[in-house]
Amino acid sequence: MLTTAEVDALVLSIKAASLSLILILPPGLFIGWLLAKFSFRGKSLLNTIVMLPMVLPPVVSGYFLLILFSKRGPIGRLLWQLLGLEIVFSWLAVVLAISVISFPLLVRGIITAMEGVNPQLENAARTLGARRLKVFFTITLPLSYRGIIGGAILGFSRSLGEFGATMMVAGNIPGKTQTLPLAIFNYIQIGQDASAYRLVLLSTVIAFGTLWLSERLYLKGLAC
Amino acid sequence: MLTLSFRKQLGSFQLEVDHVITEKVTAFLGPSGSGKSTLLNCISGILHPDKGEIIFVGQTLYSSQSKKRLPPEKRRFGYVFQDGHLFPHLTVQQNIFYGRPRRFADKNQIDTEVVIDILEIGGLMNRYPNQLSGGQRQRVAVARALAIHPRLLLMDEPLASLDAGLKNRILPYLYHIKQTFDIPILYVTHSISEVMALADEAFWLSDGRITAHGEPHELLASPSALPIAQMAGVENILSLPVVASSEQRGITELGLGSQKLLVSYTKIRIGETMPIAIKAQDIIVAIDPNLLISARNILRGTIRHIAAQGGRVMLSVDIEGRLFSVELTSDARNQLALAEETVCYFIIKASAINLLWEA
Repeated sequence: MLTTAEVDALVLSIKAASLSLILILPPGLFIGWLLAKFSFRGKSLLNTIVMLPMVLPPVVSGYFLLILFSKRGPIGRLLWQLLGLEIVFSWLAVVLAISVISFPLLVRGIITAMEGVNPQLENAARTLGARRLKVFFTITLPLSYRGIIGGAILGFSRSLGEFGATMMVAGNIPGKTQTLPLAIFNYIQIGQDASAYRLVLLSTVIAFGTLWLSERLYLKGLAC
Repeated sequence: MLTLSFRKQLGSFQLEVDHVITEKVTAFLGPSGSGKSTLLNCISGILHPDKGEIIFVGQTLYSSQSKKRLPPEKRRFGYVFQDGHLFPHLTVQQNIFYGRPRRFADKNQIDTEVVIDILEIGGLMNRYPNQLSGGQRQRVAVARALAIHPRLLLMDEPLASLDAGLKNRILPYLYHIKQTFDIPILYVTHSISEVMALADEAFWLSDGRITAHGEPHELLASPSALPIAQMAGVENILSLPVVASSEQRGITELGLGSQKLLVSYTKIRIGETMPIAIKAQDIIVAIDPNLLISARNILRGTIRHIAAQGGRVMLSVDIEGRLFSVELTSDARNQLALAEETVCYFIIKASAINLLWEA
């Protein structure tokens, strides 16, 4: 049904999106919690920085990543000297690119979910002797997990569809950094329409399924 | 015991207090928006004032001068919220034991089993909050607050969300809690009957300031302190011992000093106490006790205070050392020539006495 190259693109996309989600979920929860439940100096600045990739053209985000992570860039040089790791144009660059692009979506979802938890419940827990962290794990998280999962699914599906930033920082190397959308672009360029259509269909089905699932979880989250 | 001397600005509203709380049960009374909840939130540590200090038995909870802000989790003050705020994802059991301290630094003054017993919630332990009635929910909230062995119990209109009938059924539980445990209680409400039933001292809060305070009956007797509009529906709530009971006659006798109060028959045994409620407007005043009337209760008492405003008069009456509130029109008062220290008779129909304890 699918050719090896098409399967490769699909597997790479899912692998990269999964690893990205695992990597960004903990900081996403922490930052989402900060932005949803605390007021502090520099809050809107933090919020703006986190949300920036959502409005920035992905190509621009990718360009920044390329500058930062290339062997001559400030972070890339450090990684090369310390770990001998070259991220740019490797499959880790795919993970990096989609992490940056999907992070705001994930955090948005987490903020919305956590803001939905009545702060009076958290106050009640504190008067019962619970520290902030205990309140987070025993009240905030259990009461918002559906919305968080919804946000995570949304971020995950955005990851699967990421194009611009990935192209900039990871390139378009078949079998190595060529994700689903990049493969589709490629197939259309070279006139392999059948392959392109198959992947287009696949992408649409995945996107529809995940969006529908996250919507359902969100509505259920509201109900409880 | 609790020194409150602080200021808190919330939008255009300002709360400013400078008082020392000394009594066991202190009520804060006032219309909504008068700052009652803000006050409790500052005491609990959920909010911090802008300036001033809060000191609880020698421990500084908040001080703007020394920049001290003890977080709520370190205060060990039980807090019963207006809507209970039970954790919806936890069972009653898990709710009650959520905050139970692992070790008891000071003497363990409350046995949670006793609390569960008094509040009669033992059968609900495996239910979730959405499977409870409003009254049950509030009782669980009280148990949860008491289970942390609080040094102080804060109650923010715990009965406000309940309908009148239910309110009168929960009130005795709170009264029982007050009698059984040695914990100071701060009680916020806008219901005068709750204040009369529970409080040793009452503060009247208006627009962010305390404008009057004193023993509840005294406070009620001075119209300058309390807007008389607030007195509508005042109920006398008291607990009296059962001295005799006859199912045949359909009557139970309650002792009130050397006098007696007859109520409709109840199964409560002789020697136990029965909490009752009598509305202030259901008590009739008479000068002459030798009337031929059907009402069974004619009690002798002395008028201590008279408060009048806008055609209505509120008497504070001493019957066997207990103060009752009696409401009548100023017309009636003039006709009877009632004055302070007048001895007169108070007529109460047995059916006007609301029994608060269900046998």
